[in-house]
Amino acid sequence: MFRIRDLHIKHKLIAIQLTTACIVLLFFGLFAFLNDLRTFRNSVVSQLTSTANLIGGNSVSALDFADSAAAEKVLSSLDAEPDIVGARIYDALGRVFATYPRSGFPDPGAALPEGEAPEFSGGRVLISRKIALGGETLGSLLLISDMKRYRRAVAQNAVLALSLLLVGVVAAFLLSMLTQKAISEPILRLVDAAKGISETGKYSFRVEKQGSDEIGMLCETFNDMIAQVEKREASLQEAHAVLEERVKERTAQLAVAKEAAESADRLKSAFLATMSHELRTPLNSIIGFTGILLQELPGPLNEEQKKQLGMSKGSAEHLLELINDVLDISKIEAGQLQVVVEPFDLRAAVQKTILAARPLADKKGLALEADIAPEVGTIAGDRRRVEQVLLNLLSNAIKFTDRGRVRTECSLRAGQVSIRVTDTGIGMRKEDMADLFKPFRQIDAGISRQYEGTGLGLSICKKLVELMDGSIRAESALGAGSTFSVAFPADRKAS
Amino acid sequence: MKAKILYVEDNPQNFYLVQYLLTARGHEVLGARDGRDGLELAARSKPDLILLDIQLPVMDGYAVARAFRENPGLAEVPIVALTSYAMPGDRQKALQAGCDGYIEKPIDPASFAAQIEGYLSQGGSQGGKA
Amino acid sequence: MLLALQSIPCGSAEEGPSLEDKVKTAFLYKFTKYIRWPEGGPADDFRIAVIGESGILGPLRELARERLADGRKIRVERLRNVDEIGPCHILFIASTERERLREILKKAEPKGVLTVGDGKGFAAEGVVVNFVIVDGRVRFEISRRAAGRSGLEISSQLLKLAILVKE
Repeated sequence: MFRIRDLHIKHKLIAIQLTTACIVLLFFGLFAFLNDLRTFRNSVVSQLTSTANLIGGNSVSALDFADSAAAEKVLSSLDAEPDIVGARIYDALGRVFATYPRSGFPDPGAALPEGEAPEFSGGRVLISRKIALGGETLGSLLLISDMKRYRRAVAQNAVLALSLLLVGVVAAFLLSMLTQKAISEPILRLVDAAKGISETGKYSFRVEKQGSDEIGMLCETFNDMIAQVEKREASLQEAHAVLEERVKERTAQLAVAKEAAESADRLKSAFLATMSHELRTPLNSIIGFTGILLQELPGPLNEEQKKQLGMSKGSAEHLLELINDVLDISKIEAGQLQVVVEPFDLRAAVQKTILAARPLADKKGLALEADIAPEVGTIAGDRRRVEQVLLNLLSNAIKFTDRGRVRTECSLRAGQVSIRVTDTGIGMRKEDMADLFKPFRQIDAGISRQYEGTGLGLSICKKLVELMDGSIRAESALGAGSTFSVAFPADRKAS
Repeated sequence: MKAKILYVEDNPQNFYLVQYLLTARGHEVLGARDGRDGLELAARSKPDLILLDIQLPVMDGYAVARAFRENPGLAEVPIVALTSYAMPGDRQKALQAGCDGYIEKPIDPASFAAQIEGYLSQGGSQGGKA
Repeated sequence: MLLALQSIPCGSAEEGPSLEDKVKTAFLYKFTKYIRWPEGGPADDFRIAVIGESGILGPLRELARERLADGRKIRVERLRNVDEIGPCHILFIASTERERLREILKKAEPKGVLTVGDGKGFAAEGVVVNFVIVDGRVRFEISRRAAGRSGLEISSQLLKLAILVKE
């Protein structure tokens, strides 16, 4: 789509000048023409009027003396006036007194002029004059003039005016083509310079300032701008270089730090793996062999032997627990512990764990209750850790309950597994519950000597449960027992 | 039924423990101190089950497991890993190396033999899960 | 004080003035509009003197009653003889005065008098304006020389209509 805005400056300037010139020329041309027209007409009228006056004056005596021959003679002088196509002298009573030309007087038509004003009709001018002498009207004169000559003159004038107009337009055009250069050239030069700079990126280029007009100022400002850009570029390059250096430095530093951290991690990992292995290996022997002996595989044992071996095995197992706890907490703290997501039978796992805790409960004469909801079946998670957490809670419940029961409830609702262990034990004070899940905290150092444990159990449970995307909390009242609740998603992958 | 079990283990006490428990049940236990010996022995004696300590010197247990699996003659033989279950991914690694199962150390002397017999009846090449 | 002479020796009381006479009278009146008399003429009335017998008298007298000439009252005088010729504006010389023409003219000019004749060849004799009948129409001759001598200024308009005559 053609838009005036999109024209080249050159064309715009030319168009502006041309338009202005045309308008002015047209205006004045029209004015002159109309003026001419008016002047012409006026001259025609005045000519006619003077002719009429002359003829009228000359025919006074003829009319006065009723000498129509003389009157006609006067009228015949109109031969000299080519425009006059007809004339009539009327006597005082309005009767035709003399006619010109003798024959072929043109019919004036209905347009007889009233009074002295000329009447224009049908390409003719009619004028009427009274012929009087000393205040007495002797008659009147009617002159009919053709406008042909006048018209031709007007047409000629018009053609002349038009051709002058055209010449003027052409001249204006040529002139504008020359003069627009004064504006457009410096602008184009600026445009080229800007383009050149933006294309080549050479900010050392400058535009030559010619003239002190606005364009000159633009050139100056442009140069200043470019100079600034140049400077900025330079300082930018510098800064960039400095930055590059720094980045390199930092990257190197970071690489070193990363290496150190990674190797630290690797060391930690290796350490934990080694410790795990090293600590468990002797225990393997201890637990294994005492187990074999207690099974009486090599031979029968007496009561005392069984008792002592039993105590050894128990201690070894206890040691294993402690080692496991310590390793677990170390792994968790080092971020090395992962919780798997695999399908397993939750119901079976719970039952198995309760079974494992039964001997402990039986020893204290406590009842172990299990309430597993019917919908509890296969879930996706870490069986080992779920069993670990549940066993820990059960052990704690049994540990702190002297009489009564420990009840385990397990349900599955809206994708969330809920396991609650409730005991009828000694309970806890509100103040003690605050630090319950923190590592190494046990309720009242005095009681701890009675009850074994590293104090890591609950904190490990909490961390494990959290790794399973779940939550654990405790409710208790002193002397009224406690309830530990664990909740986690039945399918961690899906959540 | 009596089975021939190959146990790749470098710790003599561990070996003695396992051997005692299994022979008490009437099985035969062959021992190899490292992976290379183990492979050799397996090829020669065609065991019914391979018990493999993961923490082995020279050749690490997983590599040994893979090596066993590459032997088509041992395709049906279950491989059980003995692992300290120390680091995350140990389980996966064992299974991926071709083990049919794993037992954690320290072993439970009361149930160990039964667990092994379970694997014996399940068969090899990851016929059953732990 | 001029006397209005009533009698018309032509015995034309029963006939009334002829058209010709009427026309001539009219012309005479009209002449006054085209002629300028020099200074010094009679200051009061406009005097028209008629010498000789002419039917023009009657219409002239009637004219005098009805019109003004040069803004003044017209006084028509009938003269019987040359001696009666006094200062006047127009002196009408009837055709009957052919014999005495020279005498009359001598008396009349150059006193700023417009001599108007009514006889054949009068203009050639020195009468300024002379009525003639041409094609049944009243025309007039003008002697320019006589006009010049009389001191009268005659408008070219009048001259145009006149038959110019040389003396």
